[in-house]
Amino acid sequence: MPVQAKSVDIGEVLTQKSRRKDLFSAVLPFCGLLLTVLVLSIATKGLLLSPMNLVNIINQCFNTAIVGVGAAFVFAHGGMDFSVGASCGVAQLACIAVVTQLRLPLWVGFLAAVMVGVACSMVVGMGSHALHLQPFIVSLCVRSACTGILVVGCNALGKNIRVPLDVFGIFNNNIVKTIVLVALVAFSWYLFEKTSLGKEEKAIGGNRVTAVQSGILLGRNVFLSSLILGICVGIAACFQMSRSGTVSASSGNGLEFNIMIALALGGFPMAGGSAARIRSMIIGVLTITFLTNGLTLVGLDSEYVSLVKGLLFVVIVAVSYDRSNLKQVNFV
Amino acid sequence: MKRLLCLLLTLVMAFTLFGCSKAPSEPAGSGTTASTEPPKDTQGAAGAEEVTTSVIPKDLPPKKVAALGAFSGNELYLQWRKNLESLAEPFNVEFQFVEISGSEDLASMVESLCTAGVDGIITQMASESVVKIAAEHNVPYMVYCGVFSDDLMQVLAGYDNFCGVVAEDDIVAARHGAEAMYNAGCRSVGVVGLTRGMSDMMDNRADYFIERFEELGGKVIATDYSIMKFADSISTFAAAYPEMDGIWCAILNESIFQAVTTEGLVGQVKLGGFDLSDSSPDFYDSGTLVFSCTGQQATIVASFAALYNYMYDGTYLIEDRSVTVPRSFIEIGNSDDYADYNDYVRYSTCYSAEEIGRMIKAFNPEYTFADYLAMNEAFSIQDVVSRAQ
Repeated sequence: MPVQAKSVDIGEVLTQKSRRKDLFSAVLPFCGLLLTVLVLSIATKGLLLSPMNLVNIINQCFNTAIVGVGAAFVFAHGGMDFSVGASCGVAQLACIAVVTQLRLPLWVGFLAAVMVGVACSMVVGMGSHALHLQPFIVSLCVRSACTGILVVGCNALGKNIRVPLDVFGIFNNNIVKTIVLVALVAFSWYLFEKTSLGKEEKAIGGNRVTAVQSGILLGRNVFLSSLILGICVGIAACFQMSRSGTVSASSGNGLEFNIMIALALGGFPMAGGSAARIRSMIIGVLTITFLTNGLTLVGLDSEYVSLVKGLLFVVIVAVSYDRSNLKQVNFV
Repeated sequence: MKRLLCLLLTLVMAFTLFGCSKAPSEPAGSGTTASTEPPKDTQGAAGAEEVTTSVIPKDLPPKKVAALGAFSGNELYLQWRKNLESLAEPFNVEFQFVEISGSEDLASMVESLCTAGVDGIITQMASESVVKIAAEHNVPYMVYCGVFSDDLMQVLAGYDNFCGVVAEDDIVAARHGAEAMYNAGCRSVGVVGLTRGMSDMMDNRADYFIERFEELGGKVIATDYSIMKFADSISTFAAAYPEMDGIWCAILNESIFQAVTTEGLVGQVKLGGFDLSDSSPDFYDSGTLVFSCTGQQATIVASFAALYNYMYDGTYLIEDRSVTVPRSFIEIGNSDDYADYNDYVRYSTCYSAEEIGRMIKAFNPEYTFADYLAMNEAFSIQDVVSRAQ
């Protein structure tokens, strides 16, 4: 019998693969989050989802979520800012100095924090763009400089600077926090998913050369994403300082790592591109917060918490992480 | 297939999690906890004591206490944990050890722990907002080994659930160290410490050494506060300051001894500082190490006494909670002291459960705050050895 060659519609195969990939990347991080919540809810006998603990969850994910949605714009175009923790610390220092040392109103302190956040992220974003340097390198430099400013500033103002709760009480109000969180996430989602800004950021992350040749202004987008991140860092700084009740040389420490972990857990593509979604960041933030909170509620000692967290990270990332950039499309 | 494997692994993890979670505490009255005999593992200072009737009542109500700090990766932290765990059975307390990395982390942990229903919190850090979170849940809050401004202490003392602060007196120890170094013949010293501003305790260890050493007529020729780069600091000092005859370290860890050896400084410089290491006895014997201090291991149990007083019946052991209760360090001056430290502190516990029980006013109404102050002040290697014998 004559053997007939099987015809393959490459376009159809690609479309199917693309749909499957989109489905996986949309559903799997949710599954990771749901699995985390389910397992920990059972382990804590429902305490995890009690109304009191849900308020805790909002408080505990607040700062990472706020900075995370800002960072999503930077990561979407393939950028990176490793200095957000240190710049958040300097923003806290600026705010407390303005309010307690200069005796200016709280809103001036808030503006000072936002300005510091914007200045730092601008140096990283525009500096790396103008000097054609890797954002990672520039952000490390800014991180180091900010750490120095924070240490010197805190030493000058009394090392562990107390945050007067009577003045900063508004930033500790759960209703205010919830409104700010929802409003910021909704606004960021709109900007990211529904406007040309978000689409252009993702296009740059997908293929920078093509994006530029298509007429997308690289500098403008880097500027705007840095501006958004800076504003978010400034806002988070004010809430964070009133929550911790102190500004010290270690303020903001580790925030950048939380952002990176949230990115990984939420399935946000590290190199940016069309698969970048605000919801990925939110899912990532919620996953890490539920995990940390739940393991504490279970009553595990710290060594077990680290062990279980590490193992669960591997599992969740293995299930949910988008590896499409790492492998060739298989047509057969 | 890979995803299926991942799912399987997650299920295994979930079972592990259940396995790791703790069984509920024995209910009061089960008769399995408090006893008339000291626990087997409290063979420290009062381990040799013949106890006929225990001051600690039988059938104490079960309590859960969260101990927050850095409990892994450092011998001192493991000793904190060991000292505290020695009290678990006699006091019917279940301890949960929680790792914290900063003040933001602290707020989240305190919130979660209060929701989980702990009866008390003992930690190294405090701020008004965090104590307020605990106050909202009526959870007593006690601080060990923390240094806070007078202003903050006044604010914290305004919260009923705040039981006070017990901390070693780094200032006194640093000044004693300066005197020991000067008396050993040091006149030109280098000082290494942690990055300025990271910790008041660490800053005090350097600042008050320098102040006292210069008062005595010595000269500090170099300082380096690069975080945890002590060995590099010593190499730099050795190359740049040949006249240096002493090195003072805020943390006298093993890397310092290794650096002094590799730089050929043994016999040329004297060493002094805080904490002990495995090389300490050899350096004492060679005359290189002239002063070191330790003993923070016991501070956590001394603090527990104040916490338990309040947890048990709302009594404040520390009368003025706006003032830190100072505790002496164990000062080690030679290898004999080091041997005693090994026997009675490092591989033992500094206070027995019975001794801590006597600090609980409900069990021992005659115990006063003055006794507590005196106990903390008297802490030394001689004190530990004499109580053990």
